[in-house]
Amino acid sequence: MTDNTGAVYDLGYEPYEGDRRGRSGARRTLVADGVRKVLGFRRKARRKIMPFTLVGIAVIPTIVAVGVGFIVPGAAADSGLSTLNADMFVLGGTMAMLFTALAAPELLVPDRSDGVLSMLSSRPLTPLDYVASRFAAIIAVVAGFLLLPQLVLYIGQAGTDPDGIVNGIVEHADNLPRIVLATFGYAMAFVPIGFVIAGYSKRKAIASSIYIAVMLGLSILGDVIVHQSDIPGGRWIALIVPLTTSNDVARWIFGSTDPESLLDAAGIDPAVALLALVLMGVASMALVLHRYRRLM
Amino acid sequence: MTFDPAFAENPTIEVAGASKWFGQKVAVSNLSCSFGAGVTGLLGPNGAGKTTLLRMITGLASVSDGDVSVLGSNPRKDHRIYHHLSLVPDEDSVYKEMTGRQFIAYATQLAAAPSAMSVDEALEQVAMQDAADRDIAGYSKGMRQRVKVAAALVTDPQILILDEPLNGTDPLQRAHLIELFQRLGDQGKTVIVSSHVLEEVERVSSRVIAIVDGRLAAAGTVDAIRAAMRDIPFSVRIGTDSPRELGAVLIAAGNVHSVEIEEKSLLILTDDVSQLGRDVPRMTATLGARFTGFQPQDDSLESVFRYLVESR
Amino acid sequence: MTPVLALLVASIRQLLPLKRSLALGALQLVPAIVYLLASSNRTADAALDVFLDGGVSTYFLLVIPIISIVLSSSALGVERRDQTLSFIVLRPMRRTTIAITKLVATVVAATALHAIGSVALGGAHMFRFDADLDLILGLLLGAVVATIAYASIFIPVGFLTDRAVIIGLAFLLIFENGVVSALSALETLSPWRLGAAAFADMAGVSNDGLREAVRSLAWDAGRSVVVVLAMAVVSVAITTLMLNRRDLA
Repeated sequence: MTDNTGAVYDLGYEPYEGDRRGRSGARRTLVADGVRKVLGFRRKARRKIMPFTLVGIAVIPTIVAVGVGFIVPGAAADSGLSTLNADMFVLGGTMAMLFTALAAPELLVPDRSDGVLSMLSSRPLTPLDYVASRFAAIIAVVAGFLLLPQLVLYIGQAGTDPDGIVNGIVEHADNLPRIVLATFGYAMAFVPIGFVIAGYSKRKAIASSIYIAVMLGLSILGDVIVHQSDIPGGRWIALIVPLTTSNDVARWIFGSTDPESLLDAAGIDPAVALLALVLMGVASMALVLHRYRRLM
Repeated sequence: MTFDPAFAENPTIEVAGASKWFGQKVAVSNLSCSFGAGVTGLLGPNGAGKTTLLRMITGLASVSDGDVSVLGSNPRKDHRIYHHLSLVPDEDSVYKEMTGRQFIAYATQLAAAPSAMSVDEALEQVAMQDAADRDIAGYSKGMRQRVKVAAALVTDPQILILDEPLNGTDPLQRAHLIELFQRLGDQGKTVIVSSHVLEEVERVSSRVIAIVDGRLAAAGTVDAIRAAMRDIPFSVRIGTDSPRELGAVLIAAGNVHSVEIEEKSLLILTDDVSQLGRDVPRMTATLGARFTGFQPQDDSLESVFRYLVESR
Repeated sequence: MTPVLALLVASIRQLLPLKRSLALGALQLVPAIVYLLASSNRTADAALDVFLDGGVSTYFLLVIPIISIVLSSSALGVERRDQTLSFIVLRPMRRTTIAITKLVATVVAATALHAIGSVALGGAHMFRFDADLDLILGLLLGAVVATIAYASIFIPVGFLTDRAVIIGLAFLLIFENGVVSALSALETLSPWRLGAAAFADMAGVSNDGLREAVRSLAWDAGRSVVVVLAMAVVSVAITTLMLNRRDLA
């Protein structure tokens, strides 16, 4: 005869009593996790080698410029501090492109390939939360990457001020909004295309190479179409040539000129180009959101 | 000359004082054993060092100290041993873009020798004929395991090493593969089956080598290993309608370590199960009690394994 | 099929799955498109300048390096990532043979793609201006030379790390197009320049832009071939050593 009694045992389970931070907490966690992922924080040391090598290479020209300023007093004033800022952005452009090629796939591809998205879907996160948080993370990292050399230059140049560093900081404070705006422009030039490519690629390596191919290819095509072809309306391609548009916008922000400016050759106002970069950013988020709505 | 059950007769694989460390972590420590014809189960908990030992045997990992030889050669240096050795690894080492048939055919093409069996025969051995022409990307875990076994068998190796081969297989597939491994062992091949699933090891192999914390913990048949654990008394459940009376008699007789009274049985700890088995019927007859059962509780591999792990 | 041939065929198939082949094949057409867009309504001499400055420079600076780096990084990298390296290594085949076969597979796969670009770009100029077939052959030779050099470097790198492609792109953009542009003495270490030198010698064409890019390198296809073959030998030795010495997954 079977015994119909049963028992429920106390296994010592304790319900979670900690903070419940809700959607905003989940979003902040995603952003912080994204920054850590890209920079290799809380991961093995070799994960930090590539990002910090690129940061180091990007900072070297500004350290040299600051060094020259200390050795040759007045050199910065002679060349024009604003011009120097613009030149340093241009030099940093290639590094920023490489950094984005590293960062965007690192941020988006593993969550899909490792099957983590389904876990994230069970949290209070919508696809828009996920995409926006990851976009914010990469913008923050790339902007930080671009800003660091500029801040080194700014403080270094302030240090060469004959009236002291504090005076130097205050006197050139009007450059700071320009630095921030140019940083934003570059970030919006480099990140959106990388974000879309990473959002649709299965492998990090493929995403990186497609991104570089697209960025350089657009640069070459843009140069050819604007300078050397007669295609009607072809000049508007200059709006989607991130490498050169970002350089031209930076020079416009700092009030310097470039005789080989693609925007000038195309007859396009840099302010329009900056607006186009912002729209590209919005469009890229929409494209990636479209993909993740199906995945999450 | 005493026979050490860690060493097989006419071994094809010899491991002599082998150690392997990764930085500060010692994965295998001064391990000596050998493998020969028949099926040997390599048993150990997760992280015991089983896979590391197999990687040293197959030459995928170097030996930090000691020696490993396969058919008399160093597996790290002599690629010719791979004519006679096949590995079915734990990880998913298959080409997902190939079909099962293509994968097995690729294994024969890389073998540099006329194949002992056709691709179809290999598929039949693992009951994968129906799915042979589908891409491996669409296979379940169990199907991938089976196609890996087929790719290993198609070259008719003398030595077959299988790391967790039954992972992901359903009971029917498992029974089929176990029967296959036993048949290969009966044919005189050296078959090593590594697993942490005790039931699998118990069913597939007559000889077991147990590794715990990178060290050789035990070797031999399951019964022999248990019998060798003299410091651990045997646990036996005796069914009777007079447990208290029988318990008192057993304690007075002095053949038991302890007696636990249950409702209609006794749980006894004793060093000599055979003597107990002779005494209990006589005692119950003398008491006029009913004798309903005599069940050793820990002669299974699970019990052996638990003792081995917990004693460390 | 012999084991080496089986490994070669399987490796080429692994390097060129359909989607990747289509994408990389499309990339091969970019130099021809650039050339055609920029050279419309131009004289033969002006079109040749556009061919060299636009088409050829895009081909050697962008298309060949990216395709070669991606394929080279995948040769052993994808086996390591997919955990199929043990399947290859546990065969009665010398590790040197595996290393050589993987290098050859990479070069063959890349050449199959470069043939598209060479025919498209060279053919675009050849048929418009009745130029020599050496233009196409020169582009293909240059592509193969550059690919052997990239494969020699990035097959071992792909075996060591899963970041080989990004390292390769950094090598291209920072070292080849930055450092070497400034220090011409290092041109022998620039794969695409080795390829461009071979092209220029075989095709018998040059202009100021090409001479500026490949300043100190002797314009001799034979020398370029010898240099890259020496790189290949060193690469095979390094790869063999790694396959023998390192613990493999």
